[in-house]
Amino acid sequence: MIEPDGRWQPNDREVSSKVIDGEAIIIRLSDGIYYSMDKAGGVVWGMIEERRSGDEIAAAVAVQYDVSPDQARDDVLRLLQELVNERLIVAASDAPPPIASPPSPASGQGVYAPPRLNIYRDMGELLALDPPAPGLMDITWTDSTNKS
Amino acid sequence: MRVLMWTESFRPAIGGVEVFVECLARSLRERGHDVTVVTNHRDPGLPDEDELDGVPVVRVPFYAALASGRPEAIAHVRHQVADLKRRLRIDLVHVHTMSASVLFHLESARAWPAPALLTMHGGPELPHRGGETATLAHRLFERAAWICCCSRAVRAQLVAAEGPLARDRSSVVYCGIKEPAIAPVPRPIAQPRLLCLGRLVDLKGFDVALAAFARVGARWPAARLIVAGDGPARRQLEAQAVALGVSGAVDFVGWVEAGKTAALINTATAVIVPSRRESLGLVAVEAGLLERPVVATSVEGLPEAVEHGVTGLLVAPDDSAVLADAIGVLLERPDMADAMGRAGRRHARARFSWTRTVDEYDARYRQVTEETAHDRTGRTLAAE
Repeated sequence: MIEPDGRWQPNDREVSSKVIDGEAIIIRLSDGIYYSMDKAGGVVWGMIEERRSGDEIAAAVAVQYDVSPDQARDDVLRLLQELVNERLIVAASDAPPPIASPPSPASGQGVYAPPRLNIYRDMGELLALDPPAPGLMDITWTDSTNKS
Repeated sequence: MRVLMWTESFRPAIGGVEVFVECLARSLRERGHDVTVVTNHRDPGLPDEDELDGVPVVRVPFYAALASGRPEAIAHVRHQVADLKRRLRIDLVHVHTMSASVLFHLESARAWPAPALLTMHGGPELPHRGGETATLAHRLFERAAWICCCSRAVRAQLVAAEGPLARDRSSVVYCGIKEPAIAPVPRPIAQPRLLCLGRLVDLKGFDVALAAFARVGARWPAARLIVAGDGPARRQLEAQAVALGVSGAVDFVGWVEAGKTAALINTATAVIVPSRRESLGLVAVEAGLLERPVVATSVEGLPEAVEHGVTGLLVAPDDSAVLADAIGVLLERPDMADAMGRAGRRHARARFSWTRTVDEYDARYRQVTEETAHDRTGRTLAAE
């Protein structure tokens, strides 16, 4: 059961994640399962990275999208439960950092759809079928945040 | 039509899928389609963009990004793929085999929506997950506009795994094969040459062929076994030949270029395909085109490539005794074996014609893109 005022953070011991271009990319490193969430889901993960509570996250979603606070709250708590079940988030261990800037309403995020966690459970298995060639692991990756 | 042909592995890697994709890309380009191959960047020594005999190839580090476990790396490659689709103004993505790299096609669909045609080449690409739908494989099957299977056996496996989702949107398009430029020559009879051709991996069952050959050699001491191909099992197979006392009669000739396999098959008395798994078995088809009888296992798609008692003999996998017996039958009865060879050529030409394969893909491309355009128009009108 997810308490609305409980704060959450990524399960950093098992998970590598980042929000890029509004989409959360999450990898459970222990078994290679790949997850993604876009639109409202990206907003939710960004707030989890800031160690926010379910209520705070739902408020942010309701501000950014045309959705009632009750609907946003239900959707966010359901998603948080799913993230807990997948071991992607854990209860936050300390106080949240200060909010840099409050989310602005009507920020052009588009039509609301309940946040959805895309799950690819076979990714680790598929990767194991064909591991990359030696040497490729040394590629220096750049952040593509600035690209369209 | 601008087509992105998506394959996890491509030249210089050699394999059935690699050769098929290259031939299909070239044939479709000859018919006016603008085909670009996109593949995994395996070798840092190769350029990102290349042209191989007139076919543009783009290499993208799919696996390195995924295996890094770094979201930034994955996002970077996803942008690369989206940019590529946009730059080439792709009308259709033709995905060959289910692989981890497909994630980048699916996750760039929003940036450049183009319908996908999937070809299932079989093999280990259908991990059975007991109805699990939260998988890349399921998502691809769900999103694909149409699924072409390289054999009836592969389609049956797909439908068993995915049910109506695959049954109602799939068909068999045999991986055809171009007729060799050379004509069949008479088979050597007095000094039999048995040929195994393929990757030297456990699934090919060449260890069973070696054990069978040891039995055959006892009765036909002039017989030789030619093992053409390479792979991780080579050292083990060479050691097995020594242990069986047949190393002097077995030739491990290594990789044979795709264009030279016909000449090698033409020197064989019979072609042995002892696979433990085989989605179709194009080696058996090519053997038929050169009027060589085939002894193959009755697994998966091989009974579609080899008609038992007509173009060759089918035996149970993993049984060197029955394999040796079947080879013995062909060696004892050369007239029957010759007739099987001739029947094999007719069978290969009728069922596995390359022109037919290209025709079927050409037609399917047009159907998929027309249906997608129709859907878009319908949606647009509905929205208005």
